[in-house]
Amino acid sequence: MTENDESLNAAILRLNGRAWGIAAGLFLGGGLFIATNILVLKGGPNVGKHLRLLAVFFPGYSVTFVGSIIGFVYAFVLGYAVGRLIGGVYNKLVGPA
Amino acid sequence: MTVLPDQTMASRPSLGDGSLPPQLALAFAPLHKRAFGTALGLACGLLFFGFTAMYLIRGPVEGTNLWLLGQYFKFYRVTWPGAFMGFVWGFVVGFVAGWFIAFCRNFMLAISIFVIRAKADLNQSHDFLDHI
Repeated sequence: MTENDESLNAAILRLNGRAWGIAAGLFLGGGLFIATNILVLKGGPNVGKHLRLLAVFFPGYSVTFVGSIIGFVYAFVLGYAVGRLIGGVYNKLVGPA
Repeated sequence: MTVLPDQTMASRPSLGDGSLPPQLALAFAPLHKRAFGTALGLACGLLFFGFTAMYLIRGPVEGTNLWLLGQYFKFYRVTWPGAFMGFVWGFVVGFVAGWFIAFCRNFMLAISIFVIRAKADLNQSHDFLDHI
């Protein structure tokens, strides 16, 4: 095994907490925004019968365009917190660089 | 929080302190499976607990069937003890998922390193017969 091989085997990835937070936030926020607006565009007599139940966890959220923006903000904040948590805990467990 | 005791980590140098360029070491560095599983497990557990707690605090809403999660997660109920059970289940599921994601990611990385190395070796010896 060469020195380069040993360096490769010894290296371990560290996560960028902020990048993970933003990525998870955009994923969750964007997902909820798109899902809500698809239902809004489809229309119908009872728009978003199930999705509107998210208002239990995200007060102010509704299956409307304004609601989708509110939902985006909520989901982004939640996703950011989750991403930061994953990055922070992982880096703590892996140890100092 | 304590650092995971891991024999393979004991001698791990920081990225780029060997002869390898740091960018290259970073590009091919594997994820630590146990640490990633723990991180994802903690996040899932807290989410599970948080959603149950919020539901309990805000009161039951018609149409919200959170209790149906009990079909998959044994002993889970929409109660405070159930919220803690949800945390445990969330941690377990998140840990398994995180470990598996890290495993798959490292596995694919190892395959790509193998392929790159094999191609480089072939390139070095493709004119082998010309020198005979």
